[in-house]
Amino acid sequence: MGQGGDSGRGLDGTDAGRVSNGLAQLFDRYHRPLFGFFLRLTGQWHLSEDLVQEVFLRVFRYGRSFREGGRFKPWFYQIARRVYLDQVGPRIEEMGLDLDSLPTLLEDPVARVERDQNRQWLERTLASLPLEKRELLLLSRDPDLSYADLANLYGCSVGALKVRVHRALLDLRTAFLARSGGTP
Amino acid sequence: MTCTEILALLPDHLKGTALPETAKRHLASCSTCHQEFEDLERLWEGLGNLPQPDPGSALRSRVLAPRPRRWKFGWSPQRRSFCWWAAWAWACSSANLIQPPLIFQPGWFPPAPREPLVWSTALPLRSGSRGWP
Repeated sequence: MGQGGDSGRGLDGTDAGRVSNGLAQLFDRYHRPLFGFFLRLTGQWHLSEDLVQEVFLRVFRYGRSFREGGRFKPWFYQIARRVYLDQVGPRIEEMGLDLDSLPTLLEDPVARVERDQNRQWLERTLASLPLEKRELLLLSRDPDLSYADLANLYGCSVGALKVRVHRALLDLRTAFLARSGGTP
Repeated sequence: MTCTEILALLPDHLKGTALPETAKRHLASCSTCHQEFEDLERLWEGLGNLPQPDPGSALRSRVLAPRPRRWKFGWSPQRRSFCWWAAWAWACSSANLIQPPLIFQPGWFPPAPREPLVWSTALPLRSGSRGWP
């Protein structure tokens, strides 16, 4: 999905009816990455479903705040961050992630048969990172979100954000090596 | 280029920016930087290949269910907040419906005609009388 394809087709900030119609298109296009994002942050299937629902509800409700011609995905993930910070932010560290069940949750039955040991380790290692690093890695890995978008999202400079991404990756590598005992 | 300068290029490189020739030459000669680039590139690729779980069609029908009216009074399971202005408007309109029978009672409006002066100057009735002076 390139930059050109990230204009949030179907979302028109001025026409509530068109927003409503576009919501189905937006849902089909974005719900899986969003669900995966929440699932990797919270580790809870039903909670992630609720969060996805709340995000799309806010997209529907606040569609007018989307600037026409702007890029949809940064705006969308801004809403997503607000939703989970509002609803589970303070409790997220208390809830903790069930590291053993996480790879099972994330895999569909077909993929489970041919699962990769490295991927399992990577899932677990990612889940063991602190929340802010986990979130930063998941967002920065999205090809539609540039460092400038993320810097805007986090309210910091682009240079500072790159340093944070680099450090998060180094932490991931350290944790991964400690877990797997080999190279990534 | 120094190792610090090379490693500062890593985040952009992971997002697809090509490395300059000087950086490539440095990586070919510096095993530490080379190892770090290689490891982080693999992790980056692994993060990109993590599966996207499918929440199923139930969530789709839940999200795309008909919305409640935005001005709906009271608690809404989807709205999850209380619509205070709607409650206030409802209370005001209810008060307007209730008040008219109280205010416009017979004799209140239009005002009753004042009684003739002759009656106002009549002697008050004495207690115990039968109504005659």
